[in-house]
Amino acid sequence: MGNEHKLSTVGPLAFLENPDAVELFAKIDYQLKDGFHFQDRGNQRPYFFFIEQNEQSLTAYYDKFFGVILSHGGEGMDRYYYLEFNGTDRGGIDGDHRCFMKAEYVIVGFLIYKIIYIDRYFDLNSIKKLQAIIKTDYEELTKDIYRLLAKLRKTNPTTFGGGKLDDVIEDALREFKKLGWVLIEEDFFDVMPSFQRMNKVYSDYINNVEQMIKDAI
Amino acid sequence: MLFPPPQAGLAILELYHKVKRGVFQHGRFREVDIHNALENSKFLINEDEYYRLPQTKFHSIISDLQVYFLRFDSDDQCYTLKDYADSFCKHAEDTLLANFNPTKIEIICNDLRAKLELCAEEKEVSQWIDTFFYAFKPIMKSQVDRLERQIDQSVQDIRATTQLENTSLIEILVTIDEKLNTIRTQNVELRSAFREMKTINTLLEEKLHSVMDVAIANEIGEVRLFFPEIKYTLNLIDKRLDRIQPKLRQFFGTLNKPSFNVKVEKFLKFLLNGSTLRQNRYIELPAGVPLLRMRETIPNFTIFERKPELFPPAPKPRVPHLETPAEKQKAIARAKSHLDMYREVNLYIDRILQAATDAPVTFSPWFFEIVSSSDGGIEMAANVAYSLIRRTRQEETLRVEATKLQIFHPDYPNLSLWEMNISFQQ
Repeated sequence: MGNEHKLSTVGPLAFLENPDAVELFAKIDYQLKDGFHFQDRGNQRPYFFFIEQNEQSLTAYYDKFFGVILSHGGEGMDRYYYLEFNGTDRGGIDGDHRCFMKAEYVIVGFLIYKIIYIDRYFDLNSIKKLQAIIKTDYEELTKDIYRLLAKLRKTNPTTFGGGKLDDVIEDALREFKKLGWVLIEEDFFDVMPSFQRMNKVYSDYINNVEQMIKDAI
Repeated sequence: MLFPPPQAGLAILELYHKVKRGVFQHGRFREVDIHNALENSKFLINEDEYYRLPQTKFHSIISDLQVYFLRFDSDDQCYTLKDYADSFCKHAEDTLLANFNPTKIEIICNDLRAKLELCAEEKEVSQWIDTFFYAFKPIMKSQVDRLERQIDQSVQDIRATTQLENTSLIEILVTIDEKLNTIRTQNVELRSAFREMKTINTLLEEKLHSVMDVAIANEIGEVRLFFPEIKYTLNLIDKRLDRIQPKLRQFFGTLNKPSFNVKVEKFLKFLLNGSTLRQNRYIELPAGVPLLRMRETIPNFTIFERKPELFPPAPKPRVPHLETPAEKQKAIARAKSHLDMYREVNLYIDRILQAATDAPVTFSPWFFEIVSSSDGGIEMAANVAYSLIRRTRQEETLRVEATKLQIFHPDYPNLSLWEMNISFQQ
């Protein structure tokens, strides 16, 4: 209820009064609509702070004029902002204008999540190393990785298959970069807080995974 | 010999420690002590246990060590450590146990600056580099290396916790996080302790202008590189911490719900197992798991602009073409002379071909005849030659062969042509 009260006091165009709006808003607007996630990191900082300062007004703006929700995830230093397109079919954005992430990138995303956060390669920052780990460290997954990501019927690791795999991993990272999930510079890559969004989107499925496995059998 | 093999090196370290602790009287020890040390060190390097002491092997190790590390007194049959062994072990010890001491760095840096300020001549600067700076360099480096090593160790420790499943995990990770914090603080302290180096750098730069000796200038150049080098490493340490720590903290977030990561792993396996490949191109995720809707495709901004060059340029003034009877006559005459020439060319060709029907002819006499009939002009003669060659396309039996024989004519010394043989195939 408190939120509603606040929203009613801050108009959807109030952020335009902010002196930084002239410099920052255009970029924020098309980047958000492009699926970008802004966080308190590197050169995203000024944009992040602008959104943080004008959160209520911007939320009202996107809700009122575009029917999408300006959402946030992460806590404290790891907070990030993005436009929620999933599950919001209201508003004036028709089906032709939607864009979905390729399934192979979803898989690569969860592989990266596993490597960094579950297997705790916190210091991993080389794309080449990441590719090597995916190819060699997960024997129990290799077969399906080659089948799906390298799109090969014979799933024994080969140089050719490895090359295809490397390409998919790199393409996925580039896609994630567009979303602000990772930073890439040549061989260097670093995962941003908003990478956690993967889990958030799929959390219902993840929590229900046991049942899904049962149903699939 | 300067660098002992692992087993011998470890044995020397053990002996060094025993000497330091005063285990041996007057720092003297016997061969059996060395044997024991060698015997002990083999376990550290995972060598298979042997049943008998390999006397000959030990003998050869000890002989080698006598070059730089051990001194043997044959009268008393006892050994002592040579000076090199002492400094070798001390350096190893310092590196391993390096105490973090930014205050020391600060004092040394201040001292270095003060001493450098006193240097008036280039010789003195050179001495300053040799005596004081080179002594300081390894101290600073070992401090920085120490921080880097600690990060490496922390990263290893974090990875090692993947094997742990009990509750002590959180405690260990919290300790590591605190350790990383300490490294960060120490990095800051080290940086500020090192700030005097910036002044030193500026001082050296000033001095560099007046230095005439190339060797000294090079030395100064090398010293000046040290500052950015260390700064770079310190920044690198910060960057590494910036990457590792947030992830560690995010990891804490998932620790509160321990089953979540297990489920994520299961979900990943489920995706990998259950996805199907359609038409060998598209992956279909299992059981209706939807794809992530990431963005609206934004139409590109259509830029509508009037390009200056898009429309016709300003018209050029038209030059009126006036037809006068004189011009008309000239044009007709020109056209007529062309026609006349071609008629004549054809006449020549006919004559040449006529001549060639009986026996092969050479072209050069004709060529110079035509040149002579056109008062030395070669236009007609050249046209005849071209037309002749062109004629071979129409008449299949006609053969025109160019040779490499260059023909000159005494009347036209500037003119020559490759001889052509003209014939008809029978």
